[in-house]
Amino acid sequence: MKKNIICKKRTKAILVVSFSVFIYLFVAGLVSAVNVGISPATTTFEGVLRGGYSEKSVVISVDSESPVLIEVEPRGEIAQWINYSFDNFTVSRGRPYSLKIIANPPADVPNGNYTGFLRFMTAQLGQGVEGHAVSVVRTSLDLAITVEITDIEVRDCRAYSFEVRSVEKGDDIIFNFEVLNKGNIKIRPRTVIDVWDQDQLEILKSQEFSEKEVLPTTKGNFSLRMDSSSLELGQYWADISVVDCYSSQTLTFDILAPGALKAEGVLLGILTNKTAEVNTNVPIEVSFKNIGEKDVEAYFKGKVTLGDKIIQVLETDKMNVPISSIETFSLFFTPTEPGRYIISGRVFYSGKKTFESSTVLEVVSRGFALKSLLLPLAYIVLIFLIGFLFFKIRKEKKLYVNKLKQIKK
Amino acid sequence: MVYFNFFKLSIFFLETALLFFLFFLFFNILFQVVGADIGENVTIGSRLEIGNVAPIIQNIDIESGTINLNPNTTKLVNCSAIIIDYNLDSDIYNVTARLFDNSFTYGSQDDNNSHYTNNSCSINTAYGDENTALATCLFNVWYYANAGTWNCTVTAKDLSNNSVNESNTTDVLPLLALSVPSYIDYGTVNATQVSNENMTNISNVGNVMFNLSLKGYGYSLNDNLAMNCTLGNIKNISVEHEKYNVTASNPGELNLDQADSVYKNLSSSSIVNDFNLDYRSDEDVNEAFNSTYWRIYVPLGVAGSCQGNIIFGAIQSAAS
Repeated sequence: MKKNIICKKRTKAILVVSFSVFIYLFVAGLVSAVNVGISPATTTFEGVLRGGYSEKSVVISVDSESPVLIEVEPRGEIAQWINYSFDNFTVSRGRPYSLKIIANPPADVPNGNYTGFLRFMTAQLGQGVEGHAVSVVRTSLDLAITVEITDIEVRDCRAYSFEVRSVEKGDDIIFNFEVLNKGNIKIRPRTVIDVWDQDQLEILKSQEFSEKEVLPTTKGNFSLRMDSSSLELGQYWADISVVDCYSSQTLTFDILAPGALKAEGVLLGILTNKTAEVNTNVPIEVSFKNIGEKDVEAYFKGKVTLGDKIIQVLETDKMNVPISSIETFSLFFTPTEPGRYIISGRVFYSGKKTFESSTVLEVVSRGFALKSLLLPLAYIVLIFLIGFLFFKIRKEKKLYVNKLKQIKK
Repeated sequence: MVYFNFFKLSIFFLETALLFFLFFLFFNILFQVVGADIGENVTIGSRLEIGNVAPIIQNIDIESGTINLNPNTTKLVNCSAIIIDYNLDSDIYNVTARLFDNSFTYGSQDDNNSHYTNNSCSINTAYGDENTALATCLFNVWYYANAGTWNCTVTAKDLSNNSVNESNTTDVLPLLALSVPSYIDYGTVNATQVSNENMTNISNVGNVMFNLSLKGYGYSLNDNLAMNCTLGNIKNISVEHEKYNVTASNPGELNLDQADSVYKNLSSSSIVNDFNLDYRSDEDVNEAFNSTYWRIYVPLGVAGSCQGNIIFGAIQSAAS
């Protein structure tokens, strides 16, 4: 009896273990699949010149914890023109690979669309099984590529991320920006930098640069140096104009005494109601942030204009603004006629001034008329009511007097 | 008589009072309507209400430009926005965001292919100054999200229930991705026999439809072999002895002639088959897979363990 129970228990255990092994092998077989992908799935090099240059990038990713080796191979009629950063590389989950692909068509190729593809092939994903006939799987992904050859030159670029920092007297002023070449020819963007005095009345210094080359479809970082020895201590404005890209920006910088702390602030914004009614007081709040290295005394100076007319000059008292803090200047304005008012101005601090900021205030009269008519209307209704009562009293009085006269008779 | 006089006197007083009140009202109206224009200095009662200002949403950034999805899993997409509230950033009460395929709308139902919602974006008030906060709205975007232009609309609400929303667009790039098992095991096959049918599923784990290319080799690419074996006098199986069918199963025991009639021979050069495997659209069940069916014929002179290679390739199909 006891033996029987033990046998049954053993059989049960063997069954459970066998089933578990079967499930494990089944699941292991399923999860051994490898998922690999490329994004985007196709790519087109548009408007490439003969003998020109164009680059794109593609991201290869896998859903596998262990690194997977990927080999790259160009195919098709454009195989000779396509270059890429590496022939093979490894990717794993969370570590996708961005491959730069470059199209360099030959100088004698006729205009037209040419196709081919870049094949991304994984290494072997599995292993053989002893005594079995096994085919180990590799996967490949074909990135379809089209290269459009043209003979039309396109010059197109964009300059952005302009930046300049204050410097100590004698140090070079460094202007940084980036240029994206969106055309199909190499460019050496001509850059003109004009340095203005604090009141922006006179150009004190002007310099032109055009040394660095940017290949088509690529981005170039520019760092232009300008000698500051002829500039006195103080605040200056610089107009940087990347002429070929039709991009420009005005920046400000200081020439500081050696070891001096920098005073710097930004006018965060002029805040007011979007709309207001005629003859109401409109609050205006100006936020200023001290981003410099010392406390500053600051005040706001601006104006309210309606069309070409200056309606009101705005000026606040001086206020101490500690480092890294924001202070708000409060003002009031009472519009007397409807219209679109522009409130603009700058904050002046430590002998410097911020960029001008502005906001729009729409003034309407409709609400005012309605409100102001409400009370007189109520009065008129009251007058009519009193008139009616007056008439009623007189009428009743007449009736009463008649009645009394009849009684007397 | 006395009573009559008293009555007349009362009526007189009542009328006088009414007339007086009438005059008072008349001048009061005049003052209200034209008082300011008469020329006297008039003080207008002004009421100043500096109300709560609605937040301002600036600079919505979605993954710095484009979204590259991950095969067979989700991609954490960050749609972040800088929010300014001049009543201090602590006034920002709630930020929500919706990320959706531009051919759908803000109000569309959530769907892994086209529409995602995050009702509680994280708000980092330590970012920037006391008026500025950084809202981070994360979305787990699935690999089968539609490729194309997507919109991220961020809505910010403050404690006074002022609500603003702004949006920006980005591109979800097409993802060509496939999933295959790591090997095909035909088991033990006797010489001169055709193996049993092996079913191998190919899954689309991207967001574009693809066709399937197949090629095989033994030792090295283009060697015209399917496998090489450890024993026997030939030790090789030619590539045409490995056979496949990408549309139909043919179960049961088959001889070589029967197998040749219903299966295609594998080749050393890539053959593209019309597979048109579309990407997944069902959230609950993965329907984006097709089965392929495989057999191998083992010729005389081959024994032991045999191993070869099959390259499963995907290329975006014109239909997608």
